[in-house]
Order: sequence, then C-alpha cells, then structure tokens
Amino acid sequence: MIRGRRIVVTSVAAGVALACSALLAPVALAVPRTESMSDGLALLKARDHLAIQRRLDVLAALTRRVDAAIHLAASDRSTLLSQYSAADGGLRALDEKIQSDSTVAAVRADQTRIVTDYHVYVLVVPKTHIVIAADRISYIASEFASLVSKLQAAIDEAKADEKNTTAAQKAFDDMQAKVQDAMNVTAGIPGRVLPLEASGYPDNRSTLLGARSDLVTARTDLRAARADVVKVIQALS
Amino acid sequence: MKGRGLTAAAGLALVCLLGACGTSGQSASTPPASTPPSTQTTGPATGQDLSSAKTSLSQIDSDMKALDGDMQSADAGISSTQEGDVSK
Repeated sequence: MIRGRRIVVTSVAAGVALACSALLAPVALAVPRTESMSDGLALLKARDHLAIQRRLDVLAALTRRVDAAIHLAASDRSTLLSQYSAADGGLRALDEKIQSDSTVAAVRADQTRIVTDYHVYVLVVPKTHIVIAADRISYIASEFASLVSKLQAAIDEAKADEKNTTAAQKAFDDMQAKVQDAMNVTAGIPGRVLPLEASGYPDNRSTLLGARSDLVTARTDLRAARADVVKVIQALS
Repeated sequence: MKGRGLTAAAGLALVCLLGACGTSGQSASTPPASTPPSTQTTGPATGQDLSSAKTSLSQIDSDMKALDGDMQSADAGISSTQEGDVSK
C-alpha cells in the first residue's frame, strides 16, 4: 500500500519534472534515459578520480618535505614514508575499484572511503608537520647544547678576572633548564602521533591537538632560552 | 576584490598544508640531540667564546623561524576543511 503510494508520488514528481524539462529544454528529452544514467556514473567516477589524484599529490609533496627535513630522526622518517607508501597504494587500488564499479550506489559507497580510509588532509598532513616540528625542537636543543661550553668558559674567565658574574650565571642556568624543559615536553610527541590511524579519526584528533599544544610550550621554552643567551652575552660584554 | 582575497587565502592555506609556511631555514650539521645540554667548562678566551656564541645564536634564530613554519603547517592541517568533500 505504502509502496503503491510512493510510486504514485514518484510518478507525479517525475511528471512535473518531465513537464518542466519539456518546457525548458525539449532537446534533453531526446537523450535516452540509460545514456544519461551512464553519463552520471562517468561524472561521479571522474570526480572521485580527481579527489584521489589530489590526495596522491599531497602524499607526494609530503614525501618531498620529509626527504628534505634533514634534522628528522631516521626512524620517524622511515615510519612516515612507509605510511605514505601504504596510503598511496591503497588510494590507487581504490581508484581502480571505483573506475570498475558498475552502479552509482557502488561508486558512492567507495567514494566515502576516499575520505574515511585515509584522512589525508586532517590526519596525515598535521601528523607529518607535528613530527617534523618535534624533531626540529630536538635539533635546536642540540644547538643550545653546543653553546653551553662556550658560555660557561666565558663566565669562568670573567670570574677569574674578578668580574661580577651573578647575572650571567643565573641566565646561563635558566637557559639550560629551559632547553631541558623543551626537550622533556617534546620527547614523546613522535611516539604519540605517528601511530594515529584514519580509522581512529576524529577521536584521535585530541592527540594531535595535545601534541600541538606541547609544541607551543616547547617553543616558548626555547624562546626563553634564547633570551637567556642574550642576557649572558650582554652581562659579560 | 573580495574574491581575489579569498583565492589568495586559500592558496596560502594549501601552501601551508604542504609545509612551505614561513622559511625553510634548515641547517645541515648535527642530528637531533637525545641528551640534555652538557656543562663542559673548557674553551678559548671570553671574547672568542662570546663571538662564537653570537654566531650560534644566529643559526638558532634561523631554525626557530623554520619551526614557526612547521607549526603553521601543522595548524593548517588540523583545521583543514578540505577533507569532508571529495570534490576538494
């Protein structure tokens, strides 16, 4: 009964649409129904192919970025590149599947997977940059470490010359503490972020945000350490 | 005019997404540190030490700038609106 009513309603709607089409674009009526359905399927497939291609382009750009990030820890680089490779292969296979789908419903079902199986934009991209930033902070910390001996030697020499080194020593000690804080807060970031998977999104977005917040804290510590170095230099100059 | 502004903003977002925010300021020397700064006290005379420290500080500034770029790129990804619609 309900099905019968649906058919009636659909028929009425189709009739209205047909009438409008006839008024507005009589030429369109000449196109056989099967041909227009096939056009729709082809359009969907073309759109999905482009969506996949865009994601492959992003993965290629990220690969170049990671290859160029010379301060990146070898294990983090290897993990990221292997994740890109898996996503690249998966997206290409999905593209092939979509292009061979024979119904609109099948294409639409696969289309969803372009997003949900990979989350290239909202997970892979930020994950990459967060890990690069965390490793860069470790690298900057090593640069501060190379300053330690120089600054301590300068303080010791000033002391030997009976100069007041209280302010210089205080800034020097603070610099070391700040650098250590920055290292402590970023040490676990790659380990937390690299394992995040598309299947866990959006729940795992909070991990990205937490890591991002830790990076901000570490950057603030490094800026303070940098200011301390300037204070040491000024106090001894 | 408004349209041009939006296009420029979208372009910047894409550039950031791919990691070209800020400057690239990379340096090709030491690998990431895994230990805290040491407290060695050896070294040449004060003037030379301070001069050398200033040079190191310039390199640190360059790397801090690159760090800003990394973080902007991460932000662009986290807040990306490109994902949900496969037409993007």
